[in-house]
Amino acid sequence: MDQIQSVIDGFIDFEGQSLAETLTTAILVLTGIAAFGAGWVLSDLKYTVYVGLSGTVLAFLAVVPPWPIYTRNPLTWVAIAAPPEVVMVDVKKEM
Amino acid sequence: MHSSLVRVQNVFGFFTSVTFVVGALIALSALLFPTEPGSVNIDVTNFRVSKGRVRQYHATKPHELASVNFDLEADLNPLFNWNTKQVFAYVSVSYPGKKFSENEVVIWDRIITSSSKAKLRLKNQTPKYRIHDITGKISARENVTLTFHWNVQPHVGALTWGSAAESEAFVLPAIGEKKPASKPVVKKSS
Repeated sequence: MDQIQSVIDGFIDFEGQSLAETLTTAILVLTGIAAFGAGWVLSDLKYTVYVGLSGTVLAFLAVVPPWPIYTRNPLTWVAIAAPPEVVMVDVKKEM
Repeated sequence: MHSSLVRVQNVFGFFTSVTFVVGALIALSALLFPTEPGSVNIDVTNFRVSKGRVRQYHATKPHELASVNFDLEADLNPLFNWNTKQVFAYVSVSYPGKKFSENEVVIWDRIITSSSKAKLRLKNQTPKYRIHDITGKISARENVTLTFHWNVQPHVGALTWGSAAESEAFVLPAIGEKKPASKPVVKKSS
C-alpha cells in the first residue's frame, strides 16, 4: 500500500524539482516554435496541431513520473539526537 | 513540483499558455497573405420575372419573383493560405426602391473548402435563390446590379469579407417578358 502511494505521490528532491521546471519550459517552448514552423513550411495548420500535441505528450512523459534523474540528490537529515535528561522540580516546596 | 499532481498541473498550465501564443501568432500571420482574389468577372446573361407563391409565413398573396442568370469567373486561389478553413463565395443583387431605398438579395452562394476548387467558372448559371421584394413587386425595377462577394473563414483568427466586380446596372423586365426591351450593357470589371 505504501509503495502504491509513493508511486502516485511521485515525490522528487529539490534539485529534481528545479530540473523538472526547466525541462517543462524548454520542451513546451520548443514545441510551440516547431509547431508553428511545421504548419508554416508545410502550409497546413493540421501539422501545427500534430506537432504541438505530440510535443505536449512528450513534456508530460518527461516531467510527471518521478524518474531516477529527479531523485539523485536526496536530503540527508541530521540524525535525531538523544533526548535531553528531564529534571523534575517540585515548585511548591521551594516556595 | 514536489508531487506528480503538481507537475501535471504545471505542465498543463504552461501548455495552455504556449497554445494561446501560437494561436495568436497564427492569427497575426494573416497580415502577410493577400486578402484579394485574382481576376473576377461577373455578367448578367438572362433574367425573367414571374408570379409565384413564396413559402413564407407573411406571404399570403402571390409575389413577383425575379430570377437572374449570370456568368461568373473568379479565381479565389490567392485567398487560400495555411490558415484558411473555407471561403464562402456569394453573388448578390442590389436595387433601389421607393419605400425601401436600399435592397440587397443573395441569389447564389457556394462554400469552397479547398484551393483545388477555388477557380470558379460559371456560364449562364441559374440562381439558387429567386428574388422577391418586401413590397411584393419587383418587375420593371431599374438600376439593378450584381455583385460578387467573398468571406474568408480561417481556422484561427478573424473572419474577413470583401466584394468585387459589380456588373453594370440593368432593368428587370415586366412579368412574362423573357428578355428586357434593350439588352443591358454590362461592363467587365476586374
